[in-house]
Amino acid sequence: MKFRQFTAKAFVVLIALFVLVAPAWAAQCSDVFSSADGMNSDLQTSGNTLDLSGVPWTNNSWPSSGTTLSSGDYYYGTANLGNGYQLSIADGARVRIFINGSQSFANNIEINTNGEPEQFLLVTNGSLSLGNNPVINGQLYTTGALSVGNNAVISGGLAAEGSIGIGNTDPTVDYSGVDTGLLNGLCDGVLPVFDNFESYQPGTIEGENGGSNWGGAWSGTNDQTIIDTSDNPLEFLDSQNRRIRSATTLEITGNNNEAATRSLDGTFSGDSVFLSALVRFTGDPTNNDFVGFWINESGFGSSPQFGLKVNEGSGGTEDFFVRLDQNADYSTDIEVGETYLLVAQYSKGSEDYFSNAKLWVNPECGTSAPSAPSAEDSGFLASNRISEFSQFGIRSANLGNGDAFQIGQVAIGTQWTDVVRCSPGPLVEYRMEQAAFDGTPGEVVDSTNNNRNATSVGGTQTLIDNPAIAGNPGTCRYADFEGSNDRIVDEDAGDYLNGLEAVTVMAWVYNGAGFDNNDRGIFFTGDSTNGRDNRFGLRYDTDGYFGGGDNVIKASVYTSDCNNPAAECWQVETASNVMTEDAWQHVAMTWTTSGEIKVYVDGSEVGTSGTQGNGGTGQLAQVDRLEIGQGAKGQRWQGNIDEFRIFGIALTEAEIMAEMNRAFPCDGYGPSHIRLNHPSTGLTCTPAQGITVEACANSDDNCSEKYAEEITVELEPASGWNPAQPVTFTGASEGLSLRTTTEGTVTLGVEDVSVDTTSDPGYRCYADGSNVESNCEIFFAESGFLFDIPDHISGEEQTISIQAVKDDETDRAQCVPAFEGEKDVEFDTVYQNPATGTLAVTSGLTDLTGNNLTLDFDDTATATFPLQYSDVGNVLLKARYEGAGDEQDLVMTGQDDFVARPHHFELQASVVETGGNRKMNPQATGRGGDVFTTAGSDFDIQVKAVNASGGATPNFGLESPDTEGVKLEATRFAPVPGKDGIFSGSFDPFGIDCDGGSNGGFACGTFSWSEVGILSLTPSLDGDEVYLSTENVEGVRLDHVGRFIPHRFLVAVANHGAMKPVCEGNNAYFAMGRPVGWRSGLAPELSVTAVSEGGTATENYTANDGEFQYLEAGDVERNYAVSDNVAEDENGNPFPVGSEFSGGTLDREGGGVMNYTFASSDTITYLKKESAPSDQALPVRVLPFVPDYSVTISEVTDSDEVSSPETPLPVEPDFGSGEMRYVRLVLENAYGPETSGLEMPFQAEYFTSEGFVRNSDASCWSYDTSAVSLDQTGLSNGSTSVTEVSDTLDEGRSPAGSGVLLDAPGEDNRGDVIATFAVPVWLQDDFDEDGVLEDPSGRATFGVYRGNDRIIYWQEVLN
Amino acid sequence: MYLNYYSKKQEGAGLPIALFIVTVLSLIVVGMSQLQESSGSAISLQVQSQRAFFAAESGAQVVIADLLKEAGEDPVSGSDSEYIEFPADNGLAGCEVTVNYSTANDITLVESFGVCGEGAPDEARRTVEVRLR
Repeated sequence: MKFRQFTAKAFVVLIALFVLVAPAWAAQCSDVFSSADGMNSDLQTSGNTLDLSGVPWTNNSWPSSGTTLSSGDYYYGTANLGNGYQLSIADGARVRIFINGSQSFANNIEINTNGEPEQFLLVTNGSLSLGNNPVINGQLYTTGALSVGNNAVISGGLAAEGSIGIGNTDPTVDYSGVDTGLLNGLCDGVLPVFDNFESYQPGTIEGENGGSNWGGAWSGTNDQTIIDTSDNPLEFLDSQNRRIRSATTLEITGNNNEAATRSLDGTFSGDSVFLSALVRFTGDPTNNDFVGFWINESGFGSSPQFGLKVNEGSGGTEDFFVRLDQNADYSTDIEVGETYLLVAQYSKGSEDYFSNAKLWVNPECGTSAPSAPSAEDSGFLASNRISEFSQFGIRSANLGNGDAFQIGQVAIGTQWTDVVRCSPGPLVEYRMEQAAFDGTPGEVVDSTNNNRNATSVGGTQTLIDNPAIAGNPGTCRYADFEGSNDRIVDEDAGDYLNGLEAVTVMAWVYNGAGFDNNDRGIFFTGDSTNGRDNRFGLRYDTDGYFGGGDNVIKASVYTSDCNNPAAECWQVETASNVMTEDAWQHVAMTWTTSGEIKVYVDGSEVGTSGTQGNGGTGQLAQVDRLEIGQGAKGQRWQGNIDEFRIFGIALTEAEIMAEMNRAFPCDGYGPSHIRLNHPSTGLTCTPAQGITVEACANSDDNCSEKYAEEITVELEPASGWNPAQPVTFTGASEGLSLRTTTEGTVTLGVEDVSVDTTSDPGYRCYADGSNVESNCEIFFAESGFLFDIPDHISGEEQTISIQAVKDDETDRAQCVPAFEGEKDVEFDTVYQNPATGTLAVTSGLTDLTGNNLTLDFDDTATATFPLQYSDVGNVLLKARYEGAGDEQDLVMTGQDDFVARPHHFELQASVVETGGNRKMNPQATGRGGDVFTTAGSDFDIQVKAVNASGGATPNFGLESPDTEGVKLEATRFAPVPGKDGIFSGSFDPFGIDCDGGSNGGFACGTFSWSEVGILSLTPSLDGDEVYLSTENVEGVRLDHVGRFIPHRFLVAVANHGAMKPVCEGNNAYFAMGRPVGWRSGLAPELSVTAVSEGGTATENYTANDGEFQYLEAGDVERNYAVSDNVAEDENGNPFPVGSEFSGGTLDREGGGVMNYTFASSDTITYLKKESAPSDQALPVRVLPFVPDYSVTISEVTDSDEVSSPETPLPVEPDFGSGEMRYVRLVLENAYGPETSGLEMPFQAEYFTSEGFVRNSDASCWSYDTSAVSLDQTGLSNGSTSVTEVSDTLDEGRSPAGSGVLLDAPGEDNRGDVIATFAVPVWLQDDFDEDGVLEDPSGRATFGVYRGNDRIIYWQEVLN
Repeated sequence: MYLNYYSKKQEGAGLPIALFIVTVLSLIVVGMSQLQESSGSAISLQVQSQRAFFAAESGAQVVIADLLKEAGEDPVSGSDSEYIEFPADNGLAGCEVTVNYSTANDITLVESFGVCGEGAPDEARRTVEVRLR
């Protein structure tokens, strides 16, 4: 007994040890090479093997003896390399060789003899044999056996999944490569970890689980949030333009020791570790603003940390720190808004804790750490001795309101390259910044420092007046091609382009040649005389051929898999109408070795209409030269090209967009021209008002881009200005006035500008608000009308006061009344902005366009009249009076303009349903409201600009240069609380309503909302929120837009459930005919997530106690299979399975996620006897099998008809390895004297290929022999009875003394008694094979056993 | 080397006695060893014989149980032969049994031939005969 107790305890301990030890078998890198003697054999047994499943085994040829390999993974086949084979590894390189098969090296091989063991790994997919005298520095690993000859000098380690046999020398152990990442990707190393947040949606980082190799999801407090920085990405560039960019960023705004934390997938205990972070600070950096990256301990100075500590806490000037305790070393005075790459390294000395910390700020993206760190710290406290860590986090302190620390990515690794992962810079970049080209070789400068300068041919020039990105910084100067012979050529481009396996080419282009037969090229790389797109190139084509489109862009390559250089190798033709004219456009193409060509226009990929050729894979080939401005058809570019770049990789769309938006400081960059806005007339008795000066960055007439720098302009005439000349401004000046007391024409002009303009002439005049250039003249008259029309709301009547004045004869600078009495004054109107209109300016019923009003001027020569204008915009009203009689020859004029703005905006939401019907917004106000549309789906909103009378204002949205528009502010009406989601979309230009009809004052936009519930929308002016420099326009809120419902449900099986066997144990089994239920707590679970069309969770579906949740448990339809998926009955039909189930439960998990759990009472039964087709069906007596059963989730649809595309979805319960057995109970016969009781033992059996055998796994069936009935008719006299016993089967048998116990019937009461045991179906059998399952029965014979009467004799034959 | 006949006269019976004892003991050992071997072989044969008997008995029981079951209330009848080879993990491993039965005059003769260690020096054969009606 004691032994048994000990055994049980020992077993438990062993199990516990197994559980604890088991994870270590998951082949940590340090487990593979761990033996102290350098020989790690029989790894297959221990399970500490490398994971080679991802190795792309390839039978490449071995390099010749004596080769020096650079860093990388090499894949070779097996080979006979002969005696004395040698391989070297370049200084500092790391080489891994993978041999596809068993390899035998001859004698005297030497590999990496001059390098360190950590530089070399040899992996053999089979056995490895080294001859005598090998010299190797590195780690050797084989999946089979490893044998080493005599006199080996091996420094590193040996590891084999099989045996290791070694000659007369042992290896010198050096496993340093294991700690420095030599085995990365081949085992479960804790590092490196990396996360750039790019896969996360805006919102908290809590629960996000992206990145690579982490041990779990992020945890985060309310002090952080993920933000979209795609419009202003964090970007780090090193001196070679290698870059790291982040368009999705973790922003820390609050203060917390654990603002964001994340676990590693284990504990790192190596000697050296690198950490990096891409960061940017916005706000006001004040003393001790702090954000630190910590390992293991988050508190102040309690672990090695690096990050931001403004002004070294206080008093210093540097802001980035690294430290091991509370004392730090610092580097760099940060600039707000700049992106920095911080890299820290913690390393151990002679003791096992980090005792040295280094920090690099904006290092080069090399393959190893620069020798000189920006800061270094070696001081530490004894209490801070961190030797290992498993946790990483971000601590913030002292950040104030408006301060934000943005983190673009974080990484931890053992190698510099683990944490500094830069995208390569361009192979070549022509920014065209040279002031002029004259054909001097190399004059077109490659700004990458790769010295791939090019040469202009044919007279190509550079300009600056109309750059692609105006302003400074901008794209500055650009190349100008006249279209006949101009181009830029690099004759040596084949040197760096041929052999590439991926490429991106991009440029800003300006097509000045229209669309007429335009085959002009952006670049080409070969001879274009045969007119085929048979080389690497990119061009316009107004008449696409292979795709059949119009105005397309064609991108082509010639690659190593093509063998006819005279024909198209692989060419892609874009969809139609991607060409532009007289405007800048950014064009890019990418190609990869798989043969995929993509074309991007203005940063977005465009579709293709056709392709030509059958090649395009392999390496780029046949590049003879690079000609910018040349086309495959021989047509040269007419227009401009700028910022031409080639990368040796295929950039992503986001990366291309970022490259497109790249702007640079411009040397000597000035405004395109100066614009003078002025009236065409004035009076000598009062200054001419409203003269403005603008510095235009672009050459367009609208002055759409203002020059961003401050400039000083000196105007002509030299005097009369207020304020006095010169005038200094940025962009546009305040209003100026000009006075002259002499009747006549004054001509305006620009005498001088502080920064040279790039256009000639350097200034342009525009009179009376017109966008048509004028002659710069203002005519000053001695008399005229003065009136002022206020800016006002469209449709609101204005009372205008008009005064007729003339100059005072004694003081010509003073105006005096000109006349009194009724006068007929002619008015006229000019639509200034917009330049056209459909509604008239009226005074009562009089149209003021070319009609007279009779005005009664009083003794101050002042009269009034009403004015109405029902449209919007800037309108000039002119007054003219021509005298008669005494006033013959008197002509008086006057003018004033005004701006009428909309009264408000009105919204109308609708959606076009399948079939084309337009469904209007039902304006649901709560849960019971009608459905509008689904989350994330497009719907239309029509906006109407309305005047004071409620009518539309058709000129709204037609203004220039910047058209006015409307934006929407979305607020969530319901549910509360809930999530706001993402409301996106914009209005199309005004003039078209949502039915597609031309309708002034109306605009239609396509919008979407990512959430469920009801929205409120408020319209208002977009842009500067001021209508033509007057006032804002308020919108009328549309209170209820909705109800929005989920687009669909995502259904996933969170838990397939596990079935409970008859008996637990090593040989758990199930029995046919016995209902099988779920193990406790292991009923299947489904995760049901309501999502938008874009696939994001609609969190409001479950918000506010499910206010908008329409899915109920009963909506989850399940079909229990009627047969096993694999097993068959004895007739070869699917094994029949019955089921009994009831409805499950649906619980809200939050965040739009619901959890559906099967009812714990559900059962399935592998039928012991088929119920169909009739009772004649025989019992299903088949050999044991492991069940394979499914419950199908056939439909998940709520009452709004939101359904799941995942259905039908199988749920496959886990039966473990338990067999489904045909089990029966067998009652044995017994005989004995009638004066003694009898015991009839019984046992459980199951059907096997050898017939029925005892079911020794049955040790759990509890029975009671009271269920035994007796047939005593065979007893001569007397009777017997069953002594009831309750017990449990022991290894399938009834324990001794616990069988069916029959009392002695008494002397002379002889005969047979039939005992029948009433058992459950699963223990019955068709004992008599009549097709019916029966209870087991046995015969008990009291008295003399006479044998079977049918047997005459039974004897042994002895002869 | 030669005996020195001249140094001392040789006397005594030690050597003959020793030779006698050694010879007798050797004969005894050889005899016991043969006896032991003979006894082991005999026991082996006896066990094999018993196993063959059980094999024959088992074969007869199997066939008779089937015959009685098939016959029901009718007389037992039939003519056939069945061969049973006992599995390796069975107590009768290495044994086999052939059961022949035939009916004549409403009497069925069942002959069960059990054999164990067939072809080996200790091969044993036993036969059981049963008559049924």
